[in-house]
Amino acid sequence: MKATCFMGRNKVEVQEVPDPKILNASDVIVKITSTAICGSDLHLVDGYIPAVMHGDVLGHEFMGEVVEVGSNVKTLKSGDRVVVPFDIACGVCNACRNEMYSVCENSNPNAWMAASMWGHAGAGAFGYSHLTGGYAGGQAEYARVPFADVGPMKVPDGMTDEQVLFLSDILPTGYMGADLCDIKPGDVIAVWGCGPVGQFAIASAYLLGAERVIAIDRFEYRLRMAREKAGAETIDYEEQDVLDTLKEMTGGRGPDACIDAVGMEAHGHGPMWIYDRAMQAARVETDRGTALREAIMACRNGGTVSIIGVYGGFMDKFPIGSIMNRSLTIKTGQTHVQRYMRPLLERIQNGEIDPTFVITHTLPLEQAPHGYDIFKNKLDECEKVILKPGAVSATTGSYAHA
Amino acid sequence: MPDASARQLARALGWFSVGIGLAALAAPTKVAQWVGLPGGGSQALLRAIGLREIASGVGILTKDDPSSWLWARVGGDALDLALLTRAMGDEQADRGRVAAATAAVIGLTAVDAYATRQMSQDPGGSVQDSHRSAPQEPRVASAITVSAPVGEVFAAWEGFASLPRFMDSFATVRVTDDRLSHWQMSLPGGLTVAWDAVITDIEPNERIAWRTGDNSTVSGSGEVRFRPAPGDRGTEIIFSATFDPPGGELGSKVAGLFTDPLGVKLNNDLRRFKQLTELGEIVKSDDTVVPGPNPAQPVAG
Repeated sequence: MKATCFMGRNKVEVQEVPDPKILNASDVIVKITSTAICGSDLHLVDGYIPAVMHGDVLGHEFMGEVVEVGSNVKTLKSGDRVVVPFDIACGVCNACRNEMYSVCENSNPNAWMAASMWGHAGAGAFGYSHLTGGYAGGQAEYARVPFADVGPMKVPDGMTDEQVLFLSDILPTGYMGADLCDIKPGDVIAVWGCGPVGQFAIASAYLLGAERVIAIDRFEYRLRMAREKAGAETIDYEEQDVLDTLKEMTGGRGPDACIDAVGMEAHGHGPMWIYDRAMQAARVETDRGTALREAIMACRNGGTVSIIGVYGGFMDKFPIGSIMNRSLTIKTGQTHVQRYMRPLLERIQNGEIDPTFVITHTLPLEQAPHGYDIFKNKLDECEKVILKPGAVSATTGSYAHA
Repeated sequence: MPDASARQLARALGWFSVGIGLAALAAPTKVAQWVGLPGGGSQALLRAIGLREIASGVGILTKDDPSSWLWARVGGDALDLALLTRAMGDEQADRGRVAAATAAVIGLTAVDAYATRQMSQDPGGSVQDSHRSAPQEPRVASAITVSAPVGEVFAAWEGFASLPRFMDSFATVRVTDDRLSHWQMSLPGGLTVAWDAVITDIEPNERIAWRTGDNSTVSGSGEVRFRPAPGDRGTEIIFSATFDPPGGELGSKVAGLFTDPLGVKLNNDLRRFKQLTELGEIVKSDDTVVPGPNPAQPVAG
């Protein structure tokens, strides 16, 4: 089959690879009809997540048709159309029983690796380094999906791939970011980052009752989408001082909750930005803190900072004093996708949210390298790339970028 | 004055430094392979590390008060850890070897810091401090919580008969009767240790204890304890073993270097036991089937 492979830092290629096989009795094999490139894939390709190896198959947002079923699968059969959560969860351990699927205790066979970095290990995930289990990803023609009775959700007839694909990750992720804010009537929410997850965090904050949502980014086309499609007020951080502007917009209080939808590769300006670039380049810190530090400093006293942007390891100059002295609450986590999929499917069916508004590019799988290029480098007003395996492709090639 | 055992440990570390230093100077490529650094590592860098090791080794061995040279070793360990952490991120590095080397350096750092503290001790060291300096047998331990009642978990361990189903990462186990099992463990450098485990005590639903039998290259003892996890979370399993390696106290210190990586292997096996109990099978990923890059990697050629 064809699959999108990590071939070295900043090097992604579509290669011919062996087809996946059933390895556990609760597995299914899915023939992928749609898959997407996620901002967190860029952290892998840019070389900031350890334990990614040459030839590893990328991708953790995918859906398709069940074509092979393990002997212990009870709820799915060949021909079923499913969307698959990016986090792999067994459904029976203590974490899963408490709906903390992304910290499943059984799904990461490389738990020792993750535990050596983080103290304890999280769940396995598709196409997301050997730290999260070493599972092949879904930017491919086929994928092996473990725990088929727990993760994959059947897609109701009549819904398009585009309507449901983002239930695999970014819609639940944006929604969880807002859910963690414990939004009350009258609340003002600020969202750092207007990538696809940020857009869904904005939309979800409104769904959960926010009065106003303020979005922060530096790309005008992304800010425009946040204003026009998600309904946010916007701040361009290259034009305006974010902390001052937020104070002005909130009568000096600061936002009631701040959502970091940026993560470890945050951009910014000023001495701290240069400091972070240098520290990360020297591998003294793994995570740049520009967005998160600002979200913490901006938050009103007693407010909540919700972190859904991905961080990998260690950050320098973390403003713990601001958190402690101002009674802030930090909430975070990899998304417990299985917890949010069904309620969000209902919201899509009821017309409360239409997640297709983030899609700017649909490409054949063979053009994945081009997709990574435009998404990473913000070319052609790229917001979200969907890849279609099996689509006829005019051009193929590899993307190598300095 | 620091006590005699602290001085003895410092001397051992001094000789260890000299040995490693000479090896890195004479055969940098071999040393790089041994710790899993990519492309044979940088020869110049490894030679520099070699010189550093020799300098601190000679310093420790020749000075009346070696604490400052011991501090140099602690600093050197920190540099080594930084180097290995970088190598961990390099896809060309041998991940297993780098992880083992990292664990060994972490162990060494702990020993160095311990020795340094002992040697830097103020002459009127407290009773508590001298108590802490008593030599300890190398100990391997790991714990896990399994969502199953104590009775069920204990039954799965009783007689050790089902151990081979999940324990082959820590050691291979062959069970011959309900009291006797044969264990074999591979250590880095092609070393193999083997021992017979004789079950010495069984307290139903609480504890199984064993010690090594006569035909063993190491002697030691261990136990598995079982207790209900609070909050109705199943059963806590605590596995521990102490070894009495040959070579007296120095042998113990050297064996102590292996206990961290062994703890990792032991924990892997306990996780596999948890999977078997909770799910009925051991969870596989592409990485567990073919270690390294996904087997769905590009077809060669």
